[in-house]
Amino acid sequence: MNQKLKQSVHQFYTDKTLSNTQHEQLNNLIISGKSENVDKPSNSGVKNTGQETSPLWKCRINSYFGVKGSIAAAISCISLALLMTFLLSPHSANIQAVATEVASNHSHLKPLTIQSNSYSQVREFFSELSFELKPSSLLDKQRWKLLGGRYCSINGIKAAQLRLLDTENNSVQTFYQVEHRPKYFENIPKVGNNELPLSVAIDGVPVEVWSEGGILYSLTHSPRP
Amino acid sequence: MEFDRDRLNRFYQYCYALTRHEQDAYDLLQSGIEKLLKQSPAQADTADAYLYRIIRNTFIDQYRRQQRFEHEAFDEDQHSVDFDITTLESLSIDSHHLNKLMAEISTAEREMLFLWAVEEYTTQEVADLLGIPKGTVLSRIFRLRKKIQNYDASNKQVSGGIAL
Repeated sequence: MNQKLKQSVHQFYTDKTLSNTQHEQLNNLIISGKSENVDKPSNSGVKNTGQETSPLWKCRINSYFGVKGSIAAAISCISLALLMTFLLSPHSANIQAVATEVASNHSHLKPLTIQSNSYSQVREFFSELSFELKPSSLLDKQRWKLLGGRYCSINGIKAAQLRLLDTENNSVQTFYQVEHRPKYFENIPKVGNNELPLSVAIDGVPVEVWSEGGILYSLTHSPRP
Repeated sequence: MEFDRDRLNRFYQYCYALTRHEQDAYDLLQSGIEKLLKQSPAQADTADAYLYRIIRNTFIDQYRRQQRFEHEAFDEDQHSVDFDITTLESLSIDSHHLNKLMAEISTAEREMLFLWAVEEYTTQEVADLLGIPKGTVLSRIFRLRKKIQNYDASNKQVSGGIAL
């Protein structure tokens, strides 16, 4: 049945609501964020030196900053344009960049969207990926137990962020899987070529990166439980 | 005003309009709130427009860099500026075609539809919030209406489609 476009669009969006868990998590974030900032001194206050600038001085200062300011603004604009061009153009990530992104996301440990220890169930959930999720042959099935996962991305490519339990030390680790596109990732060791995973420590968290069967894998080895 | 459930849901819906993905929308909202609290906790309770801007900038930072935000060429000058946002009021659509339409239109167009239909913003308010000239919003409305008309023409043969 046809409805007015406005009414339909309104309905379309208002049907999307936060789950109770998400709502609770955001509320906790807001409450903790506000309380953290209560004791911070305001940086908006301006110190009064007691001296008053004369109109002539104001005029000279304005004139000085007018010329210099225009040049500085022009240089800033050009620099910003160059920076944006660099940032917006696709560039490949090396091991360091991949490890940094993985370590950063590991430190957040965001809530899992699916919780399951079955790869087939988790695989079904990740239907939007351009590849089929699979465990790496390098990981001992007895040692590494799947806990679940959530969608994420590395260098702009949709990825699976899985969480594994390392039964050796009972620690929870982040395990990434993303399609290995050579255009986007460079110098990633290939297990198929008898190359070993490379390990990079980011903020004290060792992160291993390797590729196997067209999938780029990355696993943290955080010492925390 | 506090961050009550309705308010959070509205921001979430805005994030969904940008990302078209529920989990991404939640992540975007979370990032936006984190930034808001870092920058100005005092404004957290009052300024909707401020948080909308933070969310929008975060989205552009994250998603354009990741090539998930469409790079759209705007040929603003080619179109008349006679199209106010209220010209969309006369359009009708069924839910099935709306879902298809939402998947086909650009992020900027979805964002504009959200602000118009859910927030009930005027053309000028949309322009102010997005920090773009009113003419740009009018051009988007023009293109969107044209797109819906074309879409209607191709779908009418199958079913009722969109009635204009």
